[in-house]
Amino acid sequence: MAQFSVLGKPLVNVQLYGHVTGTTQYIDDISFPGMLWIKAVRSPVPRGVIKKIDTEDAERLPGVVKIITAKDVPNNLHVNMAVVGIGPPDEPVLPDKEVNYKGEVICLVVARDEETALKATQLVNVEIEELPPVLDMEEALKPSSPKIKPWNSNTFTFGSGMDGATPPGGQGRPYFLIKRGNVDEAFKKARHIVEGSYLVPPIEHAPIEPHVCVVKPEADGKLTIYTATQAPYFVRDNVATILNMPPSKIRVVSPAVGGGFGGKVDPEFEMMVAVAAVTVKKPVKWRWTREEEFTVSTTRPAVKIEIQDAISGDGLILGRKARLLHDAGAYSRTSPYGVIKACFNLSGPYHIPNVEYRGYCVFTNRQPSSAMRGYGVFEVSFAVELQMEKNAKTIGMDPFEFRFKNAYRNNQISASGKLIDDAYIIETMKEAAALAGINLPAHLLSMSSQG
Amino acid sequence: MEVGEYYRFNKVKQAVDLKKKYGDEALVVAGGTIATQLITRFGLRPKAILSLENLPLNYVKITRAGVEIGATTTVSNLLSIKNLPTALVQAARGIHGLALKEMATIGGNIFSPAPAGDLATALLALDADLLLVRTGGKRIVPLNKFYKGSLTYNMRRDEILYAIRISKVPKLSAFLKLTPYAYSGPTICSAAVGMDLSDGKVARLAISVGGLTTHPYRATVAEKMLKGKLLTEAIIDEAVARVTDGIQPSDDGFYSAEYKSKVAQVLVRKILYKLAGLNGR
Amino acid sequence: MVKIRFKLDGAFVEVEAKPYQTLFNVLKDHLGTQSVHFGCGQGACGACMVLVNGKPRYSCLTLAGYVDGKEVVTLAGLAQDGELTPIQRAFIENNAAQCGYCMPGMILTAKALLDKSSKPSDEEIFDALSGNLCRCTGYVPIVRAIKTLVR
Repeated sequence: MAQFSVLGKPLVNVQLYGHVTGTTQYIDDISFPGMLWIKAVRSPVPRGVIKKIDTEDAERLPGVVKIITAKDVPNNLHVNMAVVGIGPPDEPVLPDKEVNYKGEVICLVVARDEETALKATQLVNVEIEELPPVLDMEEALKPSSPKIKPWNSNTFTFGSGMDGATPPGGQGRPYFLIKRGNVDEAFKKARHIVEGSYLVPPIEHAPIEPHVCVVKPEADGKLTIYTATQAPYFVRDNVATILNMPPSKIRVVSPAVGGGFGGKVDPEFEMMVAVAAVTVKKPVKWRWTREEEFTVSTTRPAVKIEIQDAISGDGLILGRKARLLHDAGAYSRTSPYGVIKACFNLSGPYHIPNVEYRGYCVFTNRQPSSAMRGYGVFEVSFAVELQMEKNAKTIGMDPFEFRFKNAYRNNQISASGKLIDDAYIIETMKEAAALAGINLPAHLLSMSSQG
Repeated sequence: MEVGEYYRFNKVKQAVDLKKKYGDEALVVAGGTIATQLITRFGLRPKAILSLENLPLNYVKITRAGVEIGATTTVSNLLSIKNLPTALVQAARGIHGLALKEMATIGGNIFSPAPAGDLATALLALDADLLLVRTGGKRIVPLNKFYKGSLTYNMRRDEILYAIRISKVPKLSAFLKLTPYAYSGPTICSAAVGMDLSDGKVARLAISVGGLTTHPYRATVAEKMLKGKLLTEAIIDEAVARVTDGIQPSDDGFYSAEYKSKVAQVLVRKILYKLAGLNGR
Repeated sequence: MVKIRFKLDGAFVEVEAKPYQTLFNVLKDHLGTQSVHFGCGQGACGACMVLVNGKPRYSCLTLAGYVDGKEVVTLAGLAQDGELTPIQRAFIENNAAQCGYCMPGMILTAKALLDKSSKPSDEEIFDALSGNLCRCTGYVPIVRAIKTLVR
């Protein structure tokens, strides 16, 4: 039996030496000679048409080098998920026609120091003709609501091959659909029907380190992007597409990140800094304030989930109908993927033979949402577990018993058609109960995931 | 005027002469916990920054005449002094964290708007007076008459706050506040009571509430109902119901006016029950 | 302009700053200090914390002129001759950091607390740490690290 020197032994996280001595390098520590600073002019309204952007006064302020607008962006599409086949891309890097959320960047000021850049943003005059915003998901789904997407709806179209999950040529729907068995039959056979409605508000990641990025054009035409990111390849591929550069000419450097939690997965602003750097041909830095983090950066989406369960006389869930609304905010970004993920988890770890789940990726004039810690699953787990409690309470069964009876077991088929071969939820519940000092009755302890 | 000047000085005379020179275009900074944010987050660019840090106003004097506290006394310094009125000590302890206790000053706290201003809430219930000085003069303004409106003070353009005096310290005082978390977070609502009993009846009473309005206020309707009375639960409850009479709290992003008003009642009731020796809720 | 001369982590420095700049601006942008971090600018997170004449302060709320003639110690100035202090070792041994961004405040607060009292109660520890925010660890390993140093 070999003796391992590392495996199975407690190890010190070597990063900690830098952390406790203050020598870990974060992006804010990165600086180059001649480096310039960015501050943004942001939309003061949630929805409107841009009539005029007057930068004359701002340009005359000593220290201002350039004001970057839409026309400076070679390929003005914030491509994000389009690089993995989810689309269509619906967000500009910098808008030239309309703004769709309060705080959306309209143009960037590049100046010799942060203070001057900030002052210049106050001198830029933007005229926006306000349009009625859509600020609530249920309102967004009403036929009478203003439509904020160019395809004249407030929902993402699933099913026709551009959602990363379905093959092309299929029927497009305003929701992602998971259907299995026959829910209507299940509901007819049910002894109890239990309904629940659950709402998770948007939650801000609030990492202690705000977004910060430095882009440096190199002498050989390459670009180095220093950014606090969780997804360097997203950054690289997005910037490459936007600047019409081959990805091989872009290097993304991400040393220590001061917390991300999903908030630094979407390349929110690196491409803007890259456009600025390439335009002024100098290193450019942008660091966000805490106010920008809270009001503009992506959040966990607001999600509303309505569940109806059809339950048999002996406490088995015969069928489940669910309607899920996911607030993508003004632009798609990763939300279609989040909705798909959420829908696949609407059964929880339970065996429900008949399901019909509809997941809507809803657009509103709010800050775009994104991933956070268990994207798409967190909200659903919350709803599903509360629903299970409600189910148990309604039919008068112990909540443990209800879960044990309905937990999926090996060789069952999940709602998405997968053969379950690694079920462990029953064993997990037994261990959790034991650790919590709860004595489960014998007939539950004798159950297992094997059948 | 973009750049401005930064002044430090050792003598109060220099401070008031500069304040006279710059008037409202000077930003007076003690600990800087709020004032600095006016510059860094709210874009204020005063013509002059007058930093009071080196003035000899970080002191506490307890005599038979009462308590005198220099305007730039830090919370940390306050907490190292024995025999201060209970309400003030409890308010000082509630200033969260070590850095804030080192930086925050009692003077700065008086000017700061809600959710800051815990010490001001306590001082208001202790009938504190403010000693204001200017070139060639000084004047005393009761804290009760100091707040004229939101961020508007009974103060001349050439005055600075020198010290806080509590001349008749009430025998009984207490301070309570509610924050979102047990040990941290901004004050949702604070309350303080200063009271003297005579033959078991209320001889002197001040009830102050902070967090509902920009600056703390005295709940005078409730005070009047309790003056001269023997405190029972029923009598306290009746007065507590009137603790937000005359003020209009507003909803903020986190808490509704209705909730904050309810909290004010709960806090005042708790304090009064405790000071009256009643086993209350 | 304000000319300030102060001791930073054991060495004297002289800087000319704009009067409305903060100590954080001076440390970060003028002097390239890696051991203070910007988190909020509101004195809530403590990532910018330093010791000034031994007392903890938020550098984001301290105007630059304040430190003239004073001694400033950042997280990087704690270890002497490369020897980690007991607090730093305790944080490593207890895995009390993940992203590390809050560490300047957490460790300097721990130091200020233990300098004041070698036997702080749980309440005193929680109250001291209430001036610092961490989004990664959930605070438990940080409190645990500090408690290992309570005699």
